[in-house]
Amino acid sequence: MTIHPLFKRYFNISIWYILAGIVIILFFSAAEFKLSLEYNKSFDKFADNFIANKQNYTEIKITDDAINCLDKSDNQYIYFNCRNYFYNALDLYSKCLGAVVIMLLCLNINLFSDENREFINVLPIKKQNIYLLRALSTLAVAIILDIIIAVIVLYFFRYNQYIQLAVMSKISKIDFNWINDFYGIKRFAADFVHRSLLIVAGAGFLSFLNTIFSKPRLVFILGFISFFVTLAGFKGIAIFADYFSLFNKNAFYTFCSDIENYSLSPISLILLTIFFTIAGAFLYKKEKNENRQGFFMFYPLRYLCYALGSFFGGFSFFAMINLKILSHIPKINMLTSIIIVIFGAFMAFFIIKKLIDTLE
Amino acid sequence: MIEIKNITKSFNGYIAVDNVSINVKKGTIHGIIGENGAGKTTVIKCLTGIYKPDKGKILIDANEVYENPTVKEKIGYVSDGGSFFNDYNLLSMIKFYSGIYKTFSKEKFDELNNVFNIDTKKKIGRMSKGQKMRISFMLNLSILPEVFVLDEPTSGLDPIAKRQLLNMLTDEVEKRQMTVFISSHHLSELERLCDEISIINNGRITYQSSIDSIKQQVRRFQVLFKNNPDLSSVKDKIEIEKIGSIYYITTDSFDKGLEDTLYSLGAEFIEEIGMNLEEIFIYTHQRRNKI
Repeated sequence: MTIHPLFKRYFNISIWYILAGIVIILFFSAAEFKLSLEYNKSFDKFADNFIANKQNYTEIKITDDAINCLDKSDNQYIYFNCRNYFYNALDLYSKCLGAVVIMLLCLNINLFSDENREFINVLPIKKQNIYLLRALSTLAVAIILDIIIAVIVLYFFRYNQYIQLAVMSKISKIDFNWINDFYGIKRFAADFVHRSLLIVAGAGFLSFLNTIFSKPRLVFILGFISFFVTLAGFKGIAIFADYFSLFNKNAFYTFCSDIENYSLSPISLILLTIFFTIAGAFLYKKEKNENRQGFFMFYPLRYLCYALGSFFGGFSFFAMINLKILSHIPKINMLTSIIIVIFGAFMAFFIIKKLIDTLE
Repeated sequence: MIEIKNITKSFNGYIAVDNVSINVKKGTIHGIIGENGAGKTTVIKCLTGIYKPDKGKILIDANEVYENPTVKEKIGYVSDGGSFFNDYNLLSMIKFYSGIYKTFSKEKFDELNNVFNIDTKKKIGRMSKGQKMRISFMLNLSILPEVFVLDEPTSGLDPIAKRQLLNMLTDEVEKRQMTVFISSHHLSELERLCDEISIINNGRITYQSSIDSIKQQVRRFQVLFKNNPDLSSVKDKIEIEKIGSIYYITTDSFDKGLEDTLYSLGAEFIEEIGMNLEEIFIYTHQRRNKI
């Protein structure tokens, strides 16, 4: 069986993105890795101690994020809480996913770059097959990076996200045994499948969008800019709200965090962002083709799409990268918040203008 | 062999090519000339299947080109930019081409590279424009195309390479009855090379025929008048250039009536002088501006 030369070409490009993805994961997740390692050590210590004094412990309860038991010797409850580490794991998980998504976006832009478009289009290959090859290459990167994430998750999170797996193996002195620890495997497998589906669906969807939309680069640039605009916008709203005591800033962040962590997966948010951005662009095209007839129908709908695109883009940003750079700035005064909001407004204006210019 | 039938292509409302029709017979060389932005490259890109015409059809051996790999396999295309994978070297490109085109001949490539002598291990990104043009020419000729499309193939080439390339082209036409569609701003080359020429202005074909026919149609005369003549009555039919006391008149509608008119305006003698393709092209350009 011979591999198509164009697939080879795309896969060669993809390898650089896999390597870059690994570097980004390692670089941006260094703090989380360090915390995980420290946590793993402290859990080892706890587990050794637990095993040594096992005969003194009763009412042992192992939950998703804690181990509780009663020490008969002094009648005190002891527990090992790993909730913080669980969140640390989520941060790392989000960053890994973020790295994969960024790499897939960049890869798609590269594969669709103008440099070789003319050359590729002359080749005796149907366009749909070229798209298919690109999609396959994107999927290949997605799957490889996903496997790398799985290995990272398995190694670094074994004591928190899969606490039962860890506790069972550590406390009962059973070596890490896939067959005996069925519950752990099931959870791990379920997580892996869920993540894989998201990544693969995301990668496939990106390729699909590139196939149907002639300006992929614009779509992804807009997608990225909208993340930042919305981040700036939300932060600005939060600061203003806090400043004028409209509502509690922490409550707002909790709300964001809830959405980020539980309600919607990062890729679902990204897909929603891209969907609304493209929907807006299509509506504009439609408006233009019909010489602005039906203006009152398309116009508000288009801006609603932009607004929703930005809204989901903002949450995508939170969920995907979990960067929280702005929240780490020690003091944000009134002037800074005004600047942030103006910046957000300017960026929004820039996006819309750029989009309209490009379509014209 | 090649049938371009009433194609129109526009970009965001701007009509780049307007109702263009060209027929090219098998084993002939057809040149397309025009100013920058006249629509030559757009016609070429439609012909090679890069663009889909908005209207009309492009057929090669009665089969449509766009999205038709069977037909595209028969087309070699040398573009002005010579775009390739910049991170590949020539060896990798040969491998790529032989994987894509069943007809790719390594022997042919080696034969051509014996003339151009390009280092096969050098990365394409590090090559000069002339070298890229040569490798594009060699790779595309090595697929043994039935139709060879060239867009400004000699730009960036030194005179020796230019001559070598054009000789290879004519050899191939002679040996394999290859059909060539070529655009160039070097009109003297095209005049030497082409069996037929199309002149394109503002996306429309203004002249299309053999070079000899065009030369029979667009003619130039030197005319000596007794006095300063009033040529306003024939101004819309002719282009006038005066050097010393001699008037050089170029026209595509010379007939007995025009000749008589010139004599009636005081012409002492009218003598036809030869025109080259470049002069014909400049004439067509001036006429269009007048219209």
